[in-house]
Amino acid sequence: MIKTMHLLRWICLSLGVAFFLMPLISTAKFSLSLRRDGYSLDAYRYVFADPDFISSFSYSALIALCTIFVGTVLVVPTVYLVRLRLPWLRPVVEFIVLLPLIVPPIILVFGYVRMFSSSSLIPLTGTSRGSDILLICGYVTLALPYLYRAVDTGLQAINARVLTEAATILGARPITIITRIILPNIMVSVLSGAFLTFAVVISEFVMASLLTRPAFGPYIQRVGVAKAYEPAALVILSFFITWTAMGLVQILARFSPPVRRESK
Amino acid sequence: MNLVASSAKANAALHLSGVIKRFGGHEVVRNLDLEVRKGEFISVLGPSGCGKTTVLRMIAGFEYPTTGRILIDGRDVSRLRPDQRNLGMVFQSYALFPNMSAAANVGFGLKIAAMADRDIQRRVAEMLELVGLTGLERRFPYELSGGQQQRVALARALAKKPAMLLLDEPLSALDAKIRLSLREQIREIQTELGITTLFVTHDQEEALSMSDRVAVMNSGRVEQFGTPLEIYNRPATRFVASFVGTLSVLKATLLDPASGSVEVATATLKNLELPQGLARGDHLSLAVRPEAIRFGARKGDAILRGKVTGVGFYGSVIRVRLIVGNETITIDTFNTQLSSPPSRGQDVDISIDPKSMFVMRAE
Amino acid sequence: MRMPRRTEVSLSEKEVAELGISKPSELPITQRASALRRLDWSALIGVAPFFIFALVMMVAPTVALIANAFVDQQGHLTFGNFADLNTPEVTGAFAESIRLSAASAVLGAVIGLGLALNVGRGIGSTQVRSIVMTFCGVASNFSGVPLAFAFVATLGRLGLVTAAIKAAFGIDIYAAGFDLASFWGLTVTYLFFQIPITVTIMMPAIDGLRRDWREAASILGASSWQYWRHIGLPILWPSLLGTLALLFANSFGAIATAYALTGYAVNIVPILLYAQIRGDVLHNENLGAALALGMIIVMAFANAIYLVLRTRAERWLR
Ligand SMILES: Nc1ncnc2c1ncn2[C@@H]1O[C@H](COP(=O)(O)OP(=O)(O)O)[C@@H](O)[C@H]1O
Ligand SMILES: [Mg+2]
Repeated sequence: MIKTMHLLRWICLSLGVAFFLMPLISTAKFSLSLRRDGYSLDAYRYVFADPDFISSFSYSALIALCTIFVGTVLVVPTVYLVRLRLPWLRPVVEFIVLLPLIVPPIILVFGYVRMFSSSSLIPLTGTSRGSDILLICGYVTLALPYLYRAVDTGLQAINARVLTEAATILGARPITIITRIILPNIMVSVLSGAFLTFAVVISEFVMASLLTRPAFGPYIQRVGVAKAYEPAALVILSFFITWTAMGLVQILARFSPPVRRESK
Repeated sequence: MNLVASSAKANAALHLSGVIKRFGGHEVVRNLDLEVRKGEFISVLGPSGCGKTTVLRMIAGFEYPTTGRILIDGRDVSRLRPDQRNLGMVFQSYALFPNMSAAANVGFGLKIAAMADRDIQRRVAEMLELVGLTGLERRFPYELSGGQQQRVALARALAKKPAMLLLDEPLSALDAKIRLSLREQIREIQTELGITTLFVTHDQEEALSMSDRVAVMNSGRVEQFGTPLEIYNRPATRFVASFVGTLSVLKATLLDPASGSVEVATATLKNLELPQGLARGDHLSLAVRPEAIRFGARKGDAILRGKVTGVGFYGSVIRVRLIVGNETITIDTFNTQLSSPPSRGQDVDISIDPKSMFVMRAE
Repeated sequence: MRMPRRTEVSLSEKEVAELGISKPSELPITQRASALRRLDWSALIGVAPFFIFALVMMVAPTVALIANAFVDQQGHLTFGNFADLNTPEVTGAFAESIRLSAASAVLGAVIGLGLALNVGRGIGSTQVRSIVMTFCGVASNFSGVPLAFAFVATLGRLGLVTAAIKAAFGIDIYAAGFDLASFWGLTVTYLFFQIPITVTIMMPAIDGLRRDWREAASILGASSWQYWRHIGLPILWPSLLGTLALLFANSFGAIATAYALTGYAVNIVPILLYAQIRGDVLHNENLGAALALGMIIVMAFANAIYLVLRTRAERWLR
């Protein structure tokens, strides 16, 4: 009786594993099947030889880095100051961070297209530099929940209040405290938020497409419509990137100090 | 079922015989024998990690003994599931169901037993009154204080009129004040209901003050099972002596086995009760309770001289530490307004009644 | 390298509390009012960029869009846009979106809960558990265009599994009515991220089920089934409903997967909106705004349910 239960459990788990592995296996097999006479890496070779691949991927990577930079600069001081000196602002910040859940990317970018159209006061969509800025802002919005959570738990774990009090007693100025004491101590959290952001942003489609940016997500989509085997190779690559980024997040989690409750 | 065994132990509410429990290769409970009479309040006392919880969990049915048998009211329950044993249990963490009100928690066992709603209500009201929580029926666990939660848990455990009540360190998570009052309340309720109770604790004061009998455990074994008085005054082993209460130990050398005289630091003591089989020149340890020592030199007692190193004030009791030779001795004296305690650095005489000393062979 | 412990640098929170020193965050209401008058200006300047960003890049575009929904093409205030939304195409899109979100949310929550219970409780292996959790962390972020093409390679007309089923059972699933670029095809594809999201949210809740509760129930006479019926599932219920709402919102707002998989073949709200933004298919700019507002309302509703239920779940499991 107990044995059958146990067997049943493993069967259920195996079904689950199959559901999640089949798409990966199929795609991998597909990506290797470009030649009729056996498996080959030709699909990957073609992908890497495509100048659009190089340009779109590096464009998206660059945008992702900008997103991470802007996001960090916006989030870290805010979370720190709200935690220590402006606790009454906390509910407002929490609400703002939740906004992306209620306003999905497509609506946000719709708003951008309207508000910053070439006939508006700030005609950002008129130039490609302006559109890049809009894309970065959109991605920062997407990344906000991840970055905020990561930094907030990080600050809680190092007991930022005590560190700050100690540093203040020793005569450190606020800017020095943030850059020399707080930031190095929550580097692990910031990095894991950054990797998560990278994974989310690198193959994002809707915003890039509606802002007509030459990004990686729309590129995959275009290739997918036109070709058979190359998109499979691109999927494997993109899965590999996501996996690496998330793997790094997991590894970083091991290095972060255990969460200590700051209040109560 | 073994009829001979069951008739012989007919008046035992709980009988453990030869119970051994291994986790992997590690023997956590070693050959345990224990017999509890109906209506008794028994404490299982021991340091943390000695296997108390494991014993309780085996009685409850959450773990099965590797070997040995557990009889409840003469019935062998060793292999029964927890829900077939009709026991009540109170956990250190309260373990109240967070999705149910206090009343629903107390009534849960009755509902499972398919009792009629009206009867459940009556019984729940009765139980909440017993633990002094009338009026809090509709509160949820997160709306109750720790002490209140534990009383709900007690009511829940008792609602089904179980054959026996098991408590695993029920007071450890509570504040000192509540711990004291709840301790008394538990004992009162137990006496009122006359229910056989097994109370696990690592707090010797709890065990001694509440129980009819105490089982002192050490690394999986029961070292002594007896009344609080016996445990305290006549500890059976060195472990029991040192774990229960405070002991001061003096090194001594045996001078004469016949007259019971030994040499301690600066003095010679006479008329000690010695264990068998000692010879002249043996090294001994003399252990003594803090309250068995008096200040001043009294005739007939062993008299020693020492220097006071510290004085601690505990309300009704004053605890003085002093050095005799190389040994530190702890003395408790009542805080009567007449006496003034000695001060640090002072040299004082102390007297010890030889009969209150435990003499052991030195390690 | 482990972070050095720093608590000994200064008084712990508890000590501070015991000494009766109140911290700024814990001032009683009356004192807070006077604290408001002495605003911490330097700190406010520090958080200003964040709030300006939120205002300009998040709130303003959304509010402007919502305002547009109440304006006609000449700029007059009107509710006509909502009346104009009442076309078969739009109502059909909402119906299909809600059906799709509901189906993928319910299936994702049920299967995900089963998987989480199985891994968290049934198979008592910490290794299996940690592998599953890591994988779910990745899979819940693996959506959009790549996911769509992975499923094309699997269950598309030439997909590996499609071919395998044909070879093994002689069934052509496409002849039998299945189509990846259809309602059920999308639902199955969405499950690839809906299930892992459920697992990552429900696992902590399942861990929150304490062994004591199970034991207390069993010693009170409850069978394993009765434990789940009266205690286990009721405790998980708020988290599960909350997850359901989150999954619903998640798939309601998702477009990349659906677009890559079906193009414009499936009529759901985000794809309709996408087409509208690209080419004004509704022939009225402000109709698009009204469509967006409808979407925001559905999403806000679902997320409000999620947040309320999460609060309740946390209160219980504290
Ligand atoms: N399920 C278990 N598996 C392995 N070892 C256990 C288990 N339960 C308890 N132990 C071990 O048994 C010993 C006694 O535990 P316990 O009965 O909880 O002690 P106590 O309640 O006296 O503190 C401890 O060393 C503990 O680590
Ligand atoms: Mg224990």
